[in-house]
Amino acid sequence: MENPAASPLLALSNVSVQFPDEGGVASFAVHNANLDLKGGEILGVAGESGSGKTQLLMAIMGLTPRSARLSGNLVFKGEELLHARRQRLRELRGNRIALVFQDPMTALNPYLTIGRQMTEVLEYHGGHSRAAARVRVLAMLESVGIDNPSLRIGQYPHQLSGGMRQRVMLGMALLCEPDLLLADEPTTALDVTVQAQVLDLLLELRARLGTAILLVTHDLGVLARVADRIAVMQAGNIVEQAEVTALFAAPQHPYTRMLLDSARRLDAGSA
Amino acid sequence: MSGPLLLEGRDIAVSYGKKTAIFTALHSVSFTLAKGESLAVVGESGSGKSTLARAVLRLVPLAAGQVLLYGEDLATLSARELRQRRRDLQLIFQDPLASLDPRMQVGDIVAQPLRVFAPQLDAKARRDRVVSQLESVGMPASALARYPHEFSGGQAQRIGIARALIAGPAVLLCDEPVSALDVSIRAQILELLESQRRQRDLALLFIAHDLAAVRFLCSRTLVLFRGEIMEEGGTAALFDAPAHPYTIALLSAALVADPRRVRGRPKLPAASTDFVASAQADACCAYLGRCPHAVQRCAQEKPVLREFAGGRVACHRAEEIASA
Repeated sequence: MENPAASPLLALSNVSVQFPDEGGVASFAVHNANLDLKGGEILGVAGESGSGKTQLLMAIMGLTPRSARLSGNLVFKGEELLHARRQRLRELRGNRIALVFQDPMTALNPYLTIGRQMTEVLEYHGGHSRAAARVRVLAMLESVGIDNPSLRIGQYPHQLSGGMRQRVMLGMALLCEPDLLLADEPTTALDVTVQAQVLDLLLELRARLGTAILLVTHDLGVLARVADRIAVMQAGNIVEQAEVTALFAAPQHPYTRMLLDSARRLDAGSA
Repeated sequence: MSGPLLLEGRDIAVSYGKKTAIFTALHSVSFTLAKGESLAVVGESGSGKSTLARAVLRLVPLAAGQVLLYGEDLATLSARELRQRRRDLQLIFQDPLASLDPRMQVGDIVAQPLRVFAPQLDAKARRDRVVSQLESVGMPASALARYPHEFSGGQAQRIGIARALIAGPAVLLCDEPVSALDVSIRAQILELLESQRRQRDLALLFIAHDLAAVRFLCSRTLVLFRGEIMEEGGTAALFDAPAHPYTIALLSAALVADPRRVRGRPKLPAASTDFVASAQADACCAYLGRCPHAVQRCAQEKPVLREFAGGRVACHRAEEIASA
């Protein structure tokens, strides 16, 4: 499907994120990360809490705290972003690269209607008029599976269920048809049946829009279902990267084996 | 199934709110728990799982029904007697760090139940009990003088389990005890709970939405949806041959760490919403609107919880669904 010789959509080489400790010694949240992501690909980043998964996403998004020291190269569509100007990052964020968070309640603005926070994205990035933006937003709500969008567009986040809020977040992230969607534990706060719907939606959107997805989660079942490739992180390092079936069938790194064993000890015989 | 009956809930109902805006979190929920048995309560958020645990502990008032411990209705006890009875009913929480007082040393946290339930112990005896209890959950004696924030989530949950077990309860209520933990720690904590259950003949009421954990730990499972029991049965039988459409949805949405089993799996069937408009609010099935198998009858007649295939189910179409 993809031309293997084509340059990747996103390429990280030796990306490190360091935070200064009180003693002046810097600790690595991410250490020499090397990753490639092709258009339309779903790359899973697995690891436990504190492994640096989220810091890796934040570095790609240009959202690391100012105290952090960044090094390495981060190239998105041929453009170096790690030391890009803030203005340039603002143009890309929410437009070519979008982010969805774990908790849709805290990521949405409780004071704005669903419609207002979604049309804002299009007015800022797309130069749409408010009326034109509204038409696009209604269509997007429909395509992420929100029933009765013309009612929901006027409602506030607290009036929606958790699953609906996560759909709204996804819809908002996809409004500008980004090339890359970064998703940080997007289904962890959801019930299993809702999780299944949101994952189906991700697969469907990737198929329809060709969006590449970097999916960060500790849930190996989620990655088994949707990821094409998986990178395993431990203590800031990417310790293993492989195509999904190969990784589950023959994990190479002891840490990957330990994670899989833990999950399987529980999965044994279930579902 | 194993020992004598220990804990029983009879037609428990719990409502929140005042006259004009009453939300009924549990409708007529009944269950039994025998000595040494492990019963899972599963369901999505808002299904009433945690309310059931609170109702059992009488941390929320019951609108109707009874909770019996050793056949004795907890409502008939005075506040002082109820406090003593809680020795037999201990709780472990979802967020292990939030459930430990950050300003107390671990030794004092774990000793607290002994001060209440075994005030006759002197400091030395209490300390010995705390040390051996900590060791039995895999924590070193050196933890005694340290504070909760010095421990990881898994260690903090071990401390919480030590505190719950030290007074020798008969029932341990576990409210999502592993969902905040990393996967490698999850299995260890579940194994710890299982070994404690076996050693002490402890009964577990295990509230979870993680079906893999339920299968691992619990011999019987009760499925709640919007405060009502949809299905109940032996865990293995229920997981292998679910009879209620909601149980089927839960099981088929669950993911396991095996691409061969979860990739390309079909989407969940869409709900049949044809009869929703004609439904009577209180007379229809709770699962109507989400159920792919709904028929006219489901909108007009609430299915009663009835005996079915060795368990209980509340569905008009259970026979057809189970044999499909």
